[in-house]
Parts: sequence; C-alpha cells; structure tokens
Amino acid sequence: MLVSVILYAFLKLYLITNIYQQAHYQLKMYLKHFIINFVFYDLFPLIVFVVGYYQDLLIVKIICSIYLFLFSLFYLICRIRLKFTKRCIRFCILAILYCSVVFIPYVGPYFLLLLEFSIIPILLLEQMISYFMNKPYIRRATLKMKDYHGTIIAITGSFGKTSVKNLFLQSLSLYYTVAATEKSYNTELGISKFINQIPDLNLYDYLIFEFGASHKKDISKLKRIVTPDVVVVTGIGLMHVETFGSLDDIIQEKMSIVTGAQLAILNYDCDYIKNYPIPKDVKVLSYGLGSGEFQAKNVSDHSFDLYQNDTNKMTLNHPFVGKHPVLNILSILSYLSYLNCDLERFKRGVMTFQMVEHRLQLKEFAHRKVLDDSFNSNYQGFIEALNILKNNQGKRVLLTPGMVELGRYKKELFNGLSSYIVASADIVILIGYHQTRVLYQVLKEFQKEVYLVRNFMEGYALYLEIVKKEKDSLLLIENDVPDLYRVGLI
Amino acid sequence: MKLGILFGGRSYEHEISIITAFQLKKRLKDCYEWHMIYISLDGNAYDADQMEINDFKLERMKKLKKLKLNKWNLDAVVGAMHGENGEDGLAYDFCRLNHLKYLGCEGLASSLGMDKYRSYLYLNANGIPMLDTMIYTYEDYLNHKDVKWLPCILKPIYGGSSIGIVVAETQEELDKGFGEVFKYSKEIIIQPFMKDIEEYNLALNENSYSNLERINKKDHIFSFDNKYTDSFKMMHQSMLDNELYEQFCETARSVYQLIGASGIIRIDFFLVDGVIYVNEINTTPGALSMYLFPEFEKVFSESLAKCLMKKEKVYPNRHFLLKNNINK
Repeated sequence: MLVSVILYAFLKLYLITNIYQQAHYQLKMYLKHFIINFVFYDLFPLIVFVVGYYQDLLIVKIICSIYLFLFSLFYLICRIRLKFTKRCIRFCILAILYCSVVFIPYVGPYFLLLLEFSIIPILLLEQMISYFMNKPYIRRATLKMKDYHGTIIAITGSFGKTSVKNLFLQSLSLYYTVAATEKSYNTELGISKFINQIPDLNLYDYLIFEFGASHKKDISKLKRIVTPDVVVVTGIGLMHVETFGSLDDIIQEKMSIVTGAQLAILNYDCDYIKNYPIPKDVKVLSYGLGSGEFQAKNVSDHSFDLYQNDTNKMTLNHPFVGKHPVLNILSILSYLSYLNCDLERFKRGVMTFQMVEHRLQLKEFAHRKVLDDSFNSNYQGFIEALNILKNNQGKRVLLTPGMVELGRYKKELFNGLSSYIVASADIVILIGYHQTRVLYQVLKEFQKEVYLVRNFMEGYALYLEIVKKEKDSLLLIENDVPDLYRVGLI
Repeated sequence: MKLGILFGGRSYEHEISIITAFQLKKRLKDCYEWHMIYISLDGNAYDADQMEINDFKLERMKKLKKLKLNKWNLDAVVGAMHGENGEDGLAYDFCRLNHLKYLGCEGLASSLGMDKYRSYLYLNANGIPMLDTMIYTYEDYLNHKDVKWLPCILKPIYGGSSIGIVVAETQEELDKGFGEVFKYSKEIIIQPFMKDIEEYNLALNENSYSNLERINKKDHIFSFDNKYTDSFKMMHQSMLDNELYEQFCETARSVYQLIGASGIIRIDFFLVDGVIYVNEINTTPGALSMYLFPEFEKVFSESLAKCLMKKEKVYPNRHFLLKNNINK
C-alpha cells in the first residue's frame, strides 16, 4: 500500500509540475486546467485510497494498492518528459516541504497524497518566491538599459513578431551593428536575460526587442525595463483573447506601446491600428498592401513593386513565400527609407536572408514539399498558410492539432477556419482526439478525407504513407499546441 | 591497439561525418579496438561507444555518455570530422591539447585544405595548375562588384561535400545563386564554368596512391544528392593510359608535400583537354576514401605507423627563468 501510494504521489507531483510548467507558471491558466484534471483523474484514486486506508480487510487493501500502482503506471506512459529547470525543481521541493510540515502530524507517510488540497497556498508561495528572486535580475537589466545611447526598436503585434524582428536584424546588419533578442524571448525575464548577457550594450547602434503581450499591462511592465524609440506594430488579431477578455483590451494594450516613442511603424492593413488615435508627438510611418504611405503593388510569387505615396520607387525580389513576408519587408523598407539608407544594398541583401525556423518555412524534397509553420499559433497565420496550400498543384495535405485560446470569439473564428480548411486541403490529419473533436465532425460533414492520430510523428508517418506515389504533394504543418491542451488524450 | 575516432562536429557536414566514422569502424572492426568520440552539434564531446548509426538516425541520444578520454589510453585518434570546426584543424588541435596522436593532417595543412581561396593562392604560386579563382565577399555582393566570368560556378569558401555549390549561366541565375551560396558562408569563390570538363578523384597517403575515380556527372556539377544518394561509377587505373595516371599521381604528390599533409587525403582534379587542374583538397575525405583503395587496411596501417612514430615534443624546463632571476 505504502509503496504504491508513494509512487502515485510522486508521479502526481511530477504531473502537476509538468502542467504548471506548460502553463508558463501562470496561476490563472494553471488552476483552470488543474480543475479539469482533478475531476477527470484524481477523484477516483483518492476515493480508492480512502477506502483502502480505513478498511482493515487485507484483500481490499491489496486491490486498492494494485489499482493505485497501475494508475501511476498510466501516468508514466502518457506524459511528456518534464524539462528540469531550476524553477520546477524549486517548486517540487517547496511542495514536498509544505506537505510534510502541514500533513505529517495527521496522516504520517501519506502526506504527499494530500498535495492537491494545498495546491493553492503552495502556488502562491512559489509565485512570491520567484517574484523576489527575479526582481534583482530585472532591476539589473533596467539599470543597464539606462546607460544605453543607441536606438531601441521594439516590435509587438499579435502575429509575425519574430519574423519581423529577424528581418529587422538581418536588414539593419547590412548598415549598422545590431543585436536582437534570441528566439522568442519576449517576456520580462527573457528580455532581462538578453540584456544581462551582453557585456557592453553601447557596442551596438541598434537593439531590437520583441514585446510579447498576452495579459493586460504586459507592455507597460516591459516598457519599465526598455523604453523604445522606434516601435513596430505588425498587426492585431484575436490572439490570447482568453487571457485578455475582449478585442478592445487587446487593441488598447498593444497600441499602448506607441506612447512615448519617437517613431511608430504601423501596419495600416489592420483597421484596428489605422483607426487608433496616435499621440501627436509620435511620427508615423504606415505600410500595407492596400493602404498606408508605403505600399506593395503587383505582388507576385517572389517580387513586388514598392510605392511611396503612390510613386513607384523600385521593384524588389525576395526569396520568401506567402503574403506576410511582403508586409514584413514593407515595414523594414519604410524604416530604411526614413533613415535614408541605400536601398540598393538592401535589394541585394534580401536575397540572402534566412527564414525563421518553423515559420512558413518551405522545405523541398524530391517529389514532395513541406511547408513548416508549426511555430505559428494564430488565426491570421493559419489562414495565410492555408492560402498557400490552396494554390498547390498536387495533393494538398494538412497536418494540424487545430486551434486553441480563441476565447469568446471561438465560434465565429472556428466556423471561418473550418470553411477555409474545407476549401484548401484535400486530406486533413488531425493530431489529438480531445481538442480536434469538433473540427473532425465538421470536416466529416463535408466528406473530406480526415484522419485522427495521437501525435506528430504518427501523423507524419501517415502522411508519407498517403503520398507515397503522388507527385508535387504539399504538406502544411500548422500550429504546435502545447501539451496542456491535450489533457484527456490517449 | 586502441584507436579513437573523432567525428560529428559543428558543421554542415555533421551527418556525413557520422557516416564516415561508422563506415571506418565497420571496415576495420577486426584490426583494432575502437572508441568513438562524438562532438555534438552544440560542440560538446561525448563517449559514443554504445551508439550504432541507427541511434543517430532515430535521435536516441540518451545512449551518449560522458567522455572519458583518459581512461581509454588511446594510442591514436583518427579524424573523421568534415567541414568547419573539425577538418579545418580543430580536430587536430583537440587531440594535441589532450596529448593524443592524430592520424590526419596537422594544423596548417588542414586549414589550407579547408580554405579554397588561400589554397589556390598558395598552390598556384608554387606551380600547381589550378582553375582561375576569384574571391567574392558579402560586401562585394552588396556593392555590385562585377563577376569576371559567366557562366560561372559559385562555391562557399569553406564548404565541402558539394554543399551550397551553384552553377550560374545567366545574370539572373547568378543573382539567385548568390542568395543560395551566401547562406552558407560570408565569403565565396567564383570560378569560370567549363562544360566539357572531366572530374577525377585520387586519394593518397605518405607512400601509396589509390585508384583513380572518375565522376559520373548527372547534372552540371557533382552535387550533394549525386554524391550521397545515387550510386556513382568508378573508373579504375587500368582504364586510363598509364602516363596520365602517373601525371595525376605526380601532381597529387607535390600538392601533398607542398601543404605538408599527413595521413590519407583525397585530391579532386579536373581534366580539360588533356591538361590536369587541381580542384580542391580534402584533408579528411568522405569515408577516408576507403572505396578507392584496393587494400585499404594496408594503407591505413602505413599511415598509422607514420603517425605513431611522431613523438610529442618535450619542452625544456624553466631553468632559464630560475637562473637569471628576471624579477630582480
């Protein structure tokens, strides 16, 4: 009994830590998933334990132990591996300590089993500790930024931040020395980490930051560390509605970045941005496919004409696919023209630029092509990728775990998305049973070829099986949903 | 005898290096006791004794263990690293720092073999016939510097295994090709492209020469796909008249001596209208060119013997400092 209970309890702790990590250590998000988890998985084992603990019959005890043991094994199989960071080890130790202090007098060695009932104080304690541990780290970064004399560029928006950042970095590097945050470091801690690891900030003419905002006041928190001179807003969409509340809140939050800056580079294709009242002391450079000061016309596969205030400036070739890269290039072009840089140099340079991994990255093999967009997780990006898929000549295959975090607009967006998928894919492979259930039914109604698989590798193997003899097939890998949302699979 | 194989490394040819290492181990399994030293893509060294080539394919990296160079007591290490951060001399330096004997080229020879432009300058100045080569940096590209020849062939300066090589016949193809090549390296070389060109490979070590290999060209160039996915034909020594073969050997030997190579290297030649040109030097050829040698085991042991004969230098103690008491 004791052995199986301890095994169960430790695996439970492992699982809780895992989910907490996947929820990016945010209380609200975690608690929501915790409740679902609790009802689905934990209630019954607990009852079993209580029965086993208070019954004197040996047989019952043994049966209960075996049940708990098997249940722990089930956990062991179905979970992905935990990444052992300092924070999650801290969390585990804290949980064990707390439980042992509070529960040992009552239940002795079974203390860890009651972990779930004290989860809220433990989490609060953990949040407090990490807040105080991170504070000096962030302070150091803030002080360091105060001594910086160059230009600070901040990029925000609901989508395409990392691509634009990457493009700004590569383009400005043609003229100046530039540093930019790595990968998608766009939180307070990520940005502080980046600042702290640079030995001397003043070596760089430009620093480029990516500002992520998934909650209210995220931007103002970041602005306390970094006060940007130039801001880029790539577009606003229905990302993270779940955590924001409403669209208005998102617009207010993202556009709050503009106040205090000298120059704002704005995507005027997005009406939310266009109609936002910009403070008068901020100079605006606007770009877009349909409106704005800088426009792209005659957009074809790998080239477009650049128009500034309706006068043709140049024709530009680029190696990227899709519509979004054009917008991204426009944003950097508007800034380069503002700086009076030699655009010919950019024109040559852009051909050698490299795409961000897993963001609309086209990989060509002998008889098939793969469009890897797995880092994307927003609606607009999804539609954009589907558009590319639609224009393919051969078989069109979509591999996706669907969309999450759509919040209150879930229904409208979902309907739009499914109709797009119906129009542009021949074969759809859905990953995970739980969150794709509705999409599956919709696609079945339209008599599409739909497959359900458990994980990515299985899906990819299935795809290879399907297109064995086909030529010119295109596979779109879209959206990589964190494991958190797959609670209930297998 | 205990031998180590050093493979992997931070380069575009990481995977090819893994293939080389396992081919070598398979071929010479019975002759020596092998230990595998794997350098991962992020630059860490591991003990890969338990790994099979399939483990790398399936990314079962858990089997990698902490490296224990000292425990093994290796007699020598064979270099199987291709490309940057290895073939350019880093593999040799790794062994030198660990007081190990290295079967393969030493620092300068490795670096020269790696750098296509500097090796051209050096060999051409010393009377080795080579195709015209110009260097073209990223800055040149941005400033629209003219290319002397068209059609031409673009190569990354450090590349090996034909990765990133582009042939351009028109100006348009050239501009597109630049975009491709500059992804691999910020410096590239440009050579005039000739259509009726024959490519030959010859491997050699301190004493012996291999068979001559003639490359069967599918495309214009001997591309990466050609080399590692399709089979290619080999032309044996007998199929060429002896005089030409001797000429190849002679040129190869003088290159070998000029760069001060050691161990097995492979030299790629062009043959244009009966004239031999040296194309490039591979100081760590793929699979150590074992398929070219009729008796690879013998050649390998020859080089190994030469390598083991080298003695580590012993440096004098600091008597000088003590005697003269500089601090006073």
